[in-house]
Order: sequence, then C-alpha cells, then structure tokens
Amino acid sequence: MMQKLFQEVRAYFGSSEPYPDFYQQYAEQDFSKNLRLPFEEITCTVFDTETTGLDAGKDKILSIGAIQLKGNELFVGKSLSILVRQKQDFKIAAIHGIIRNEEDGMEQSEAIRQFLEFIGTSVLIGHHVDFDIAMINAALKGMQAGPLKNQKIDTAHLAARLNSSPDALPQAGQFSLDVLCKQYGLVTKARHTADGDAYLTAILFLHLRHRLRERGVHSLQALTQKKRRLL
Amino acid sequence: MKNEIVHRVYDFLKDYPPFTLLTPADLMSLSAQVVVRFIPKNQLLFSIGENPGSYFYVVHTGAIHLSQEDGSLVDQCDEGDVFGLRPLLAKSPYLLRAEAAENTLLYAIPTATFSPLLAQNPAISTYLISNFAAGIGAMYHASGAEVSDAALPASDYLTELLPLPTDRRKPVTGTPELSIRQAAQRMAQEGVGSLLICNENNFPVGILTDKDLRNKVVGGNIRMEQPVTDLMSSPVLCVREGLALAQLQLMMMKNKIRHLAITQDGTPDSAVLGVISEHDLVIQQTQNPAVFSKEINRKSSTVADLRRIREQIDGLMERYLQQEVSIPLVLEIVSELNDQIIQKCVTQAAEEAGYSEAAHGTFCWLALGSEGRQEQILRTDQDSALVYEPVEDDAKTKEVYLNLAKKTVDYLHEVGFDYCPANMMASNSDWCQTLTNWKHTFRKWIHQPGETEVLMTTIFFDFRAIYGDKSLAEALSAHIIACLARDEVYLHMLARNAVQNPPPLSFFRNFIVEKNGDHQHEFDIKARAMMPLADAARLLLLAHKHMPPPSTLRRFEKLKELEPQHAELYQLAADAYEILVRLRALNGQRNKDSGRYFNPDELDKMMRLSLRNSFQPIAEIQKLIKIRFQLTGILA
Repeated sequence: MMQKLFQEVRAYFGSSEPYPDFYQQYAEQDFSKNLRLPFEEITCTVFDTETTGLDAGKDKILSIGAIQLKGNELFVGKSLSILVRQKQDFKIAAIHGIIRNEEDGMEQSEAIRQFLEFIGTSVLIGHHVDFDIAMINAALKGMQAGPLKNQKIDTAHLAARLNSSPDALPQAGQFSLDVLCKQYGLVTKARHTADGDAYLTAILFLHLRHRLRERGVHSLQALTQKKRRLL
Repeated sequence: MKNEIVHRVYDFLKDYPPFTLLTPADLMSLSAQVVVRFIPKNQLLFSIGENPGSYFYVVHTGAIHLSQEDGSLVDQCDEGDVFGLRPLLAKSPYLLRAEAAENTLLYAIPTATFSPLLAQNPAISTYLISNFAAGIGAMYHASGAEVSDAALPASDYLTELLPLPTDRRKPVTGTPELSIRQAAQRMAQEGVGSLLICNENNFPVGILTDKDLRNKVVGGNIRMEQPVTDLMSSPVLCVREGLALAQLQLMMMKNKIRHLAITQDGTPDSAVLGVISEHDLVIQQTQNPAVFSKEINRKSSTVADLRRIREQIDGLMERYLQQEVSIPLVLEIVSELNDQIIQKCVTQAAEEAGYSEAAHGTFCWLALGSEGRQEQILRTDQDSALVYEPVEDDAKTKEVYLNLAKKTVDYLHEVGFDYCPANMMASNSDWCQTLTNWKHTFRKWIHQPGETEVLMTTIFFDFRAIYGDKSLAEALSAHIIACLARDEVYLHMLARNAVQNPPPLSFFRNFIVEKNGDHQHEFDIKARAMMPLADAARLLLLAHKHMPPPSTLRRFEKLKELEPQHAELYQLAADAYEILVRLRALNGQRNKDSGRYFNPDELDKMMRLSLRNSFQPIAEIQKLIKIRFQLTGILA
C-alpha cells in the first residue's frame, strides 16, 4: 500500500519508472531513528569499495568490503566481502595487482542488492566515504534505483578535525589512510583490498572516535559534521 | 571470495597458543566469530566478582593490566596474551580486575564457539589445564610493583598438578531424614555452603548447596518442611583422595558442578572423607607452567631470559618428580615448554637469516631422537633436522636455511642445550635438506640398509614437527610408510638391532655393569633398559606400517590397540618404561648429569626392585620380536 503510494507520488514528481522493489524496501526503512539514539547504540557499517578509477561517472566497482561496528566493537561475524564481476581490464590488474578471471565474482546488480541488505539503516563510515557512496549511487542509478539514504561519517574528516593546528592548510596526502594508520600505529599489510581497507578504516575510526570523545564529541550529529572547527 | 577480514583475524591468532593447537579449518570458523573491541586507556574491562560474559580475550595491540582488589598488579597482558578464559569455563566470577594500560584492541573470542573445539581436542585441554593459573592470576605480589617472574620463589611453582592437601576439616554432613529447614539451619550454624547427605554407613547419597536453596526454595517451588531428599542433588560425584587440582577442576567443569565428595574408594559406595568446592580449588591455585610459557613467548624475551627460564623449568621438573606427578603429564609439559623455546629461537633465527616464505618457500623444524619422542625430562644435547620446500632449489636458498639453522642451534646452545657431539643437527648441511632430498635419503636407508643406516633411522624416524609447515613432516611420514611397503630387509635389520641388548639376567649386585670406559662398573639404564623398549615399540609399529606417534608410552598404547592379544605385555612394557624414565630423571637430578649411569651400590631397595621388575617385559618383548622376525637363526 505504502509502496504503491510512494511510487505514485514519485511518478507525479516526474520520474517515469517506479523504483525496483529491493530499493523500495530499502528506502522505506526508518533512517531517522539513529538520530534519537546515543552513539553507543547505533549500528554502523564501515565499508570500502575498490574501483577501476576515481571517476564515479565512468569507473566501475570491482569489490566491496564492509564490517559492522557498534560502540567500541567490530563484528567479524558480520562482515561482507564481495567481488564484483566486471569486464577484464589490463590496467586494473596493473594497479591493484589483482589477477582475476572475467567470470569471477557476482553481477554488480546482485552485489548492490546484497550491500543494501547488509547495511540496512546503519550509519555508513568510510575513508573519503563520499566517493564510495557516489560509486554505489552510480551503480544504483544504473539499476533505475534512487541513492543511498544512510547517514555517513568520513574518517578523513574526523582526522582533519583532530589535526592539532586547524588553521594550517592540510597538505596533500596528510589524511590518507596510509598516513593515518601509521600515525595510529596500525599495521597496513594487504592494502588495496576493499575488505582489508574497510577493516583498517574501522580500527582507525575506533581510535579517532576515542580521541574525539576525549574532546567532548559524543553524538552522531557531532561526528557527521563536516566542517573543521576549533575543538 | 576469501574474506580478508576473517583472514586477518586468523593470521593473528594462528601464532598464539591455544589457537596454535586448532586445525586451520576450526581456527578459521572461530576467527569468523571474533568481535574486535577497542578499550581506551584506563578503562575498566571487568572487575572482581563480576560474572564473565560469553567472551574471553586475546590482546591484539596495547596492554591490559590484571590486578587484585588492593590494586597490586598481578600481570600485564601484551600482544597475543589470552585472559579471562578460566572464569568462563569454570563459570565463576572474575578474581581480578582488568584495565587497559594503554589504548588497546582486543579480540573477544566467543566461548560458545570455542568450547566444542576444546572438547574435541585434548591437546587444548592439556594446554589450558597447565595454564589456568594465568587466568586467575596466581602470582600474588604484595608490593604491587611490576611483576618480575625471576623473583618468584621456585618452590611456588606448580600446585596445579600437586595433589590437594588432605588435612581439610571434617565435612559437614546430615541424614536423609532432615527437613529442608533443618538442613538449611545446619548449614547456617556451621557456616558452610554445602551439606552432604549421608546414609547410616556414612556413604554420600546426595548434596545440598546454597544454590539449591536459593534457586528452588526461594523460588517458591518447594516448601521448607519437605524432606531434604526432595531438594538435594543425587548422586554425588565422588573422587578418591590425592587427585591433582587440575584434574578436579576439569571434572567440575565437565560436569558443570561446584562440589565433589572425596570418599574412601572414590565411589559413592564408601565413606565420606571430605568435600571439595570450586572455591577450595581457587584458593589452592598458585603457580604453574603457564608462567614459563608466557615468559618464553613474550616478545621481549632474550636468549638470556630463555636460559634462565630453562633453568627454572629444571627446578619445576624436580618438584614434579618429588611429588610423583604422573610421568606422561610431566613429559607432556616439559616437551611443550621445550618446543616453545625452540619455536622462539627458530622465529628469531628466521628473521635474522632473512628468511621469507615468498622467496624461500616453507620449511619445518624437526626434533629427532628422544626430543622427537617427547621424552626429555632432563636436558640432553640437541638433535634436529630441517626439511624445506624451496621456491627455487638453488644454493642461495640452501644458504638461507643453513644460516637459519646455525643461528637456531647457536641460540639453543646459549639457552643450555648442548651441541650434538655427532653433529646431528639442522645446521649440518646433510640434515638441512629439501623434501625431495629427504625422501631420497629415507628411501635409501630403508632399501639399502647397512648397520649405520639402521642406526640413523632409529634416530631420524623419531622426528617430530616443532615449527613451520607441518605438512612437510606429514609428507615424510607418508613416504616412510610407502617405502616400507616394498621393504624386504630393513625391518629385519631393525629387529636385529632392537634385540642386540638383552636385559640383565640377574638382579641386586649382579647387574650387568659396563666393563670398559669411563663408566666402568656402572649400570647403563639407557642402553640396557630404555633403548631396548623404545627400539621395540618403534619397530613393532613400523612393521604394522604405522608411523609411530611421539613417545614410547603412546606407542605401546597404539600397539595394545593393534594387537589386543598382546595388550598385557605392552601395558607391562609401558609401565616399565615409565618407571625407567622416572628413575633416570631422579638419578640425573641427584648426580647433576644425564642420569644415564647408575652405581648399583647407590641404589636403594625400592629402586632396585623397580628396575628388576622392568627387566621382565624387556625380555618378553625381545622374545616376541625374535619369533616374529624369525631372528633366532640369525642370532644363534
């Protein structure tokens, strides 16, 4: 009933096609409830995508890795590791050192469906998360579906906020995952797999959040804030 | 697709006990259930008296301090240290508080997944039994200063395996005629947490505990006027006197109970001598080999530390022997600790030798001879070999492995394991070979055996994987069995070798003593009594096309299975071997040497009798070998 109404409203505002069912179901969930919970009780998903390049308009998703986080805990049992089937591209293998067959992995549409099911209404956490979200959104668009609706936290932003001299302009690469991991003493082996990076980002987030909490940043709203400011 | 996250957890856990004892498949499924938890510095993880949740912990990075109520530090857990497991298994509250000394990342391991693995894998149970004290923090240090293990008095080591002292107070008992109210009153008067209900013969028929009263009476399902027999648990689990603490604790864990009755013969059909509660056990627990294990595996341990630890282990062994701890258990513990020392040395050496799996392939460090058989209570010299599967079978790779082996052997020498005088060590180019070469050597020994070759096999075929890729050792075992399938002469030669030292025919003053050399007029327990049994067990199993398990005792167990018609003889042989191991170790401790030579005049009556009794099965088993391998003609 609700679904139908939703589709009609959408049709009225100019979209020609109704959203596919899987997206409809995803979009109908209550994303605002997180705003009413203390951060410790909010389920988050730390994720990363591995792509053929940095242009969300053109490039393709090669794999998606994700792990669930709540409070100070990561749940290895609730982790996701998806290889997406894409046309073989010699350049990709050269960059990532991953050699795979064209038939490896699952169809992108299936991967996206599984991803949406996995994240539910959780808060998405990622390093430069906007890019990964843009990649997923582009894939969703290709499936005639709408964009992600989850709240998001960018660990690169958090790191920037923790930067001791906020007035100084950030230098290139200063908040890269590699540099930050080194700064927090995290081992960075097997980088450049989506799931490995998601895991690393998750641990980095735990450290960053601890530092932010020490400075009085507690709520989800405070964490999702983008602007750098004096803390 | 392989889940990199699960693999990372796996890669970390696989290097630390008890996870080292799990199969890769089991460890992988356990890894998939791990929860990674961040504990900020100074934050409390659990406090004393708190009930454990459903996880125990492994430190990934950072440090956790375990301390007592008065704030004194009991232990610091660093990378790879396991804690909080005992309260979970024993279902009892934490006895220490755990606090993060720095920002710490923990792997929380679900007990629900771990427990079934524990049940399937006796090696893990053994490991945990020998490690329990670590979890409850037995090292009580009044000072509260950083724990220095070196400062611990040696006499404190290992109460885990010692019999519980029997001078406990008389058990509080009641008769089955009591009402629940009367029973409860009696418990209150005596200030006890449990009441044994005994019949007129003083045999235990049931037990009433605080918990029963709390749960059932207060719960309202039962009235105070009902007879105590309505409420008590029955039958009572009974044990005999003198069981080791670890055994008792394991029994409680297995049966999920907190009280055991001690009776005269260990069954409910004899008189009660006392009651042991879980609480009693906790009070008794102090120190154990876990301390050593932990120290060995500490990242910062140096060779000098290992040397000191190895000396302390000697002290521990001395105590074990004096307290008559069972020999199989002693052997298991000492060989586990020795293995860990070797593992530590190999790890260090591999790093320094520039070894990398990607460039040089996998390898396995093998212990040979008595160390391979896990039969070294006293330190003897090193016997080792190295087998590797190179990426590129070139001189450079071999150089790396030889270098690795040399460094390891040197470290072990510094720790206190003498070089092998016959140079049977992995640092010898002959004994540092590729899998292919080893197979070739073994094939040659079996198919073209001379006297030297046969002797070699009695040392080398007792190999045991200590470190690295165990599949290489397994491949060698399989190869030996395959070669034996086409054997014609080897087993006969081995049999001949096994019976060449007949046991002494007479006893008391007429021991066969060595006629020449340094040990003139002394009795050689190794050559005259132990080797004949070890050789026999090895031979008989190989003849069954069975790769002998480590330890002569276990080999006789296996033989009992394979030849039930000779079970009695093999049991006698195993018993004899156990006695010989003990006698030799005691002798060695007394004379501060290998214990191999006895002066018959110095033996007391008990020892002489024990020795004499051990000769009989040797004679029997040699007779069996002669018949089975038709040696009578050859030897005549």
